[in-house]
Amino acid sequence: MKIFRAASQFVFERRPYRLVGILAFVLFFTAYLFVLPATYTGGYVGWISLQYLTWSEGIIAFVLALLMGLLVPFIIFSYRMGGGTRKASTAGGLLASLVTPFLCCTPVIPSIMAVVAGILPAVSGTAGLYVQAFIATHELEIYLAAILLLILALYQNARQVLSCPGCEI
Amino acid sequence: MNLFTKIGFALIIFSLSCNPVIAQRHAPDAALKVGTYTVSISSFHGKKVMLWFFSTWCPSCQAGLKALKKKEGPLKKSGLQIIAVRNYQNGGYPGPSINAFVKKAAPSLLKAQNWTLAEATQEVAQKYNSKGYPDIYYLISPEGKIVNVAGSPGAHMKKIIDFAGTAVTD
Repeated sequence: MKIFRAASQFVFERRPYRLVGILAFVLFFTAYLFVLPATYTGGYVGWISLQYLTWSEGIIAFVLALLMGLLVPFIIFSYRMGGGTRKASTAGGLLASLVTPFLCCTPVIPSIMAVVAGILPAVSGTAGLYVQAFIATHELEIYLAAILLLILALYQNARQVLSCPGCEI
Repeated sequence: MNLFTKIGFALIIFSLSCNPVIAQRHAPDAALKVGTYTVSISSFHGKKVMLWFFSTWCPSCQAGLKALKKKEGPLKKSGLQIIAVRNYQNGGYPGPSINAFVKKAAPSLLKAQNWTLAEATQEVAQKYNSKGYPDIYYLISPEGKIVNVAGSPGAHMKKIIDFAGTAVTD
């Protein structure tokens, strides 16, 4: 927590990074509000998504966007100061949170599995159904895992911010 | 439109274009299990039909059921016959029975005259949903032609209403 607080103070005392953080939060929050209900619309994203938005999804969208609003300035700052950035956990959390709503109840997995089954006959063409059903019934856990990954990314990038070569702390 | 939506649309178009049922555009006949009876799809010829396959573990299917419940009155007036079919073996994953699923989300539809609740047979699954989509519906004209195929009725209610006809104004 100390590391995170020190890194936040260090990065966000600069106005451009505050603006980047706000912009990233607004963009990701808007994106998540439209994307997360895709699980109810069969992958369709549009104004109709908002009709299906639930309170829990709104809260998850807020938390994910908040983490991204903090992470993006950290990554940019660290990169510009010549320090390394930790992208794997960020990408993992981002991917899990954005792709999950499209994996259940859409033709994506059945189509992929049909192609895989065509190449590898040992794989059942309907094996993807189990994957879809698992995602559908464990969606909350997947979002929680995505949040944990982003928290890990935030911690890793906060350490990078505090140890980067160009930083005077 | 973001990248994921574009990829999703591309995959939907690709996968639907490969579906033999759509290519032939004529609704093939197949048997459905309605309670202890067997009912054939051809017995609905002469009526506008929405043939909807879903799995009871699927969130978009529950949303679709609720969306159709909202339009229950107008859709009934239009004469649209809705055949709600639980996927063969529920799409390969356990879940509530079709009656329990409907009872929970839209209990009035259990007794709606224009609704038929059915279980898919292997035959109907092979003819209409061989790739095992958890949520897919067909709009079939009174002449037995497939006029539209899509997933998630909740997201495509306008298409369904347009198909049902002008009687649906709600």
